[in-house]
Amino acid sequence: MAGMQPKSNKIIMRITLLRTGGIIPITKKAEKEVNWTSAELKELIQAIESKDDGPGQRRDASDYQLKYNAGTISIDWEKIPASYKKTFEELKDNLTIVKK
Amino acid sequence: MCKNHFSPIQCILPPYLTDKLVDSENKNLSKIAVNTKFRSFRLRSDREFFKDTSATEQAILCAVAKKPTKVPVLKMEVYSCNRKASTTGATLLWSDTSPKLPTDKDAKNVINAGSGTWKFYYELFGRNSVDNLGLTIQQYVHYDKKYDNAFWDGRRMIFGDGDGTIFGSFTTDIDVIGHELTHGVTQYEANLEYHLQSGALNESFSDVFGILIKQRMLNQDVKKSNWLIGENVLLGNEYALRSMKEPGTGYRNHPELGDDPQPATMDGFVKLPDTSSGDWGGVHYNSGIPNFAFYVAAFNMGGFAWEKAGKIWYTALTDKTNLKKNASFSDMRKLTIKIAGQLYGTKSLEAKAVTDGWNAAKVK
Repeated sequence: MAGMQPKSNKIIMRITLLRTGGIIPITKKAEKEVNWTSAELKELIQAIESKDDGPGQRRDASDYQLKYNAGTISIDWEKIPASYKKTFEELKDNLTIVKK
Repeated sequence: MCKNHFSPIQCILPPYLTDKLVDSENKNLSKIAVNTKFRSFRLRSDREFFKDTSATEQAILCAVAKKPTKVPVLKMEVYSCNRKASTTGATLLWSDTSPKLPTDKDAKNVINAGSGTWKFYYELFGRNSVDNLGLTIQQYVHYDKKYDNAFWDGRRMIFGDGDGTIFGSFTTDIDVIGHELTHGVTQYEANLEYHLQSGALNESFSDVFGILIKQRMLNQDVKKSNWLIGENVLLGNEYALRSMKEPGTGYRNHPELGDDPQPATMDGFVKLPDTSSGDWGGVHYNSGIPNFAFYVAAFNMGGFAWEKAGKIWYTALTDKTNLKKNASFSDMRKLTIKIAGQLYGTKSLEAKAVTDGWNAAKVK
């Protein structure tokens, strides 16, 4: 998890949190620079990635996605490890509507 | 007991005569006699059984036999998520057994509209709650921090407070609360797949019943209603989430949202990816088309929209045989015209109004 890797392996990267969907379909996004090792990133992705298997029985719900250097994944907010909560909460607080 | 009051053979004949009739050459008499013997045996054995039962056993058996039909009552619980993005650990603010209403404004809003929704479905269509089996309506308010949305999670409704700048609380419109509850009704009825045209129909049913619930609670006829969904949720007097009367005009030149993208007619059908970011193929966009068809149909019928147009749409929603999970707009057109004909006559004003509604929306 964060802080467990040697400092030298850390790389600065820009991540984007996207929120889509809702009773009125809007896209919101927030960006942030983070300093994570590739191992940390890989571990994080494994922990939070959710299978994008459709809306199920949820209606008007919103979904979160994480965009990072190698791609975009759907994420399960409940699975965010405690050590990353602050980063994601900060991103969520800064979400702004993407104008069309 | 003697159920057949018109057959003296089954009621008053003594056993020795019944025995004789069993062997009768008349097949009808013989059949009746056998039945009578069987019933008599059952009665005698029942008496034998009850003779030896205890008072408790008799009370249990009587309770089973005489279980009264309960009049359905609203069952509701309201919770606060305390601004956390989870329903786990939510606090109960109110339940239908509480004598007093809570002080929380959002809780009051959802109790009022939730009760109005339950009454709407029960008093008009005899429906007992979302599942028609008396499901407790669970509503969760204060979800997350400044969460600008409301949704049905498959079991309950969840409402955010809004960001306070663009969106107000999502509990401030009766139609939005009715919209979310109707997603539950749809789930237990036609269960329309939530993507593409069936998803847009799913959305439209929620808007249709959302507006009807509001109109009924405010005693508005088709002319008095403004046919707006979420006119308080989206802040600013000139804005609403959607317009059923004029889809695409819910908001215009909004500083953050721009223009309402809903089409009113089939030639404006929006093609989007079948993903969350594509609104599952534009379910909240293309719902404008069946919404407009409903508005025109209801307006042309006049009066209170829930009385006739609402009845036709509810009959369609609960017709699981003819409204398939993947129904298209065209399927809905055919079904509602057929239902209007069955309910009011094929040449009726109502059947014509429904046809005119779909024609106005350019759905063939």
